[in-house]
Amino acid sequence: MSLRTSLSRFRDAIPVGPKPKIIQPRPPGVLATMPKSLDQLLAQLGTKKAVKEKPVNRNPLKPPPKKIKVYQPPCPAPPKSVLNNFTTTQLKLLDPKGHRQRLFSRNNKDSILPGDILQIRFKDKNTEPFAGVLINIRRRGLDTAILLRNHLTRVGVEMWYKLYSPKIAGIDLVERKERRARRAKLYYMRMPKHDKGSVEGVVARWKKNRMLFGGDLDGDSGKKKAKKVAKK
Amino acid sequence: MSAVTCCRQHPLRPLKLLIQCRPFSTTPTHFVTPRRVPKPTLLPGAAGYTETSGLPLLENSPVAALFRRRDPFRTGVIARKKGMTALFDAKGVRTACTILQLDRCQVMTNKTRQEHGYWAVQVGAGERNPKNVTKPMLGHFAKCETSPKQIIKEFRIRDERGLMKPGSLINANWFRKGQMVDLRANSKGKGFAGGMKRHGFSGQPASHGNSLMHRAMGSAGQSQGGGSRVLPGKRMAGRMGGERVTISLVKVLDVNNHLNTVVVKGCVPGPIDGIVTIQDARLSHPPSISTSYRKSMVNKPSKKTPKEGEGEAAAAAA
Repeated sequence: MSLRTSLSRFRDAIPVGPKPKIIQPRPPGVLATMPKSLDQLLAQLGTKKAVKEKPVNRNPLKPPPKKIKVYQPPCPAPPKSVLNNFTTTQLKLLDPKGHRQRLFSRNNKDSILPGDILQIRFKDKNTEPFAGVLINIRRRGLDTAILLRNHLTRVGVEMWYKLYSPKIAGIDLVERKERRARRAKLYYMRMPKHDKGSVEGVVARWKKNRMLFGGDLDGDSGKKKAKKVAKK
Repeated sequence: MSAVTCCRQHPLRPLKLLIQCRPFSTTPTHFVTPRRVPKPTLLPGAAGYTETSGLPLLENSPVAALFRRRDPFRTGVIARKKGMTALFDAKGVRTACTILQLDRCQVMTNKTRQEHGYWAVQVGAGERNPKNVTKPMLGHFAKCETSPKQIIKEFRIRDERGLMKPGSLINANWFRKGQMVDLRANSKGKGFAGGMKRHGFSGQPASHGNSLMHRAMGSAGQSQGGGSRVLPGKRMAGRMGGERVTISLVKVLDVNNHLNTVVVKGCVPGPIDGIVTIQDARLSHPPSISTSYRKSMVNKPSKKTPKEGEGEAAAAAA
């Protein structure tokens, strides 16, 4: 015999007891306040005289304990999210239109991802633009930085750039990775087997195409075009 | 006006007025470091007076030691470390910085040379539920007319000019953008650390036939020639961190009175939300602050009838 059937048999065997009494609500006025003790109950019922609560016995020779005045804080506590506040106010100055934030935002479906080839232009005209494969995005609010890898004179070169640095004039998206990279940090690209090598050719082709379509190489229009690509 | 009745710091001001404003001078007369401070000579009857008074002060006396201390003129504040971030200047140069926040920093009481042996201002910050405060401390807070504080610290000051009214609320604009400050905080505890991490010993080579001896501290001294003992103070492995660290001469990059934050250059010891004290740098000139600005900084929240002499002191300061 299985356990279930045995239990069900047992349940059936329990005799049905008397139905529970329905407690009627107490008529008002008999006991207006709930008695705290037996004495109080008796007093309320009228069988015993009411007993007054005695004050706590203190040594009459000793003075009563002093009441110490407690002052209220002078003002409410300062705001807590100081760091966030600082970041937003600074970003308003450094990235007023929010372009760069959107370019790397996780909410943006067409944001720049690791593996894409980027070119960074600088406000200083004497500094040459740097292009490379994006292998890392370090998200740290105001301190957000990107790592680009390229080959210069057949030597692997990696450069960190602070995204919101005022030194950067613009970020161009040169080429997207064909398929989304399956990891966030593409450090495997440092291995000779996976190294993409120089992106010079890709950038040169991109520049040529832009020239064909009448784009301005170092001007702002190029920047806008890259943004449009990102926004699509 | 004879030489006796005039004050040393203010030769043109009678000593009597200065004594009146001495207990709580909310408006210290000036913060500029005197280039050359005359060496004090004690008058007969003064504390620390000896038979040699009139001669230059003995260098090894407590009075001289107190005089040698280059304490700041103003009190410091208690803040909490809120985290690190960065600032970019107009040229695009990035500076790593730490955000410190003041939380209802109020002056509690003063320590005077006459009564306690040194000049200091006791400052409290934060908030604590009065239920969780002992009665003696509640009494202290009541006497200072401040709410129960979470943290209480003392800040040594140069002289009576830096004393403040108990209950004065100090906000972030106590400091000026660009001024230098000293920061003090407890560093993060690192636990029991070896010689390499704790003192920067170089350890031993990883290879060249080395075996089982890579990060050891090496020799602790000579054998017979050096007395066959380890000299006191020999740097060895042990507890690291978790101690008070002072960083002097830190630049204030930004001050925000709305958020009550002080942004300082570089890193600050201790964890996030750790307690940090900020005071004017000892090794730098204090900020020059106008009288009206100083008055606006020191505002008293509770209404208290002015004592006798305070009005005169204010008049004297103005």
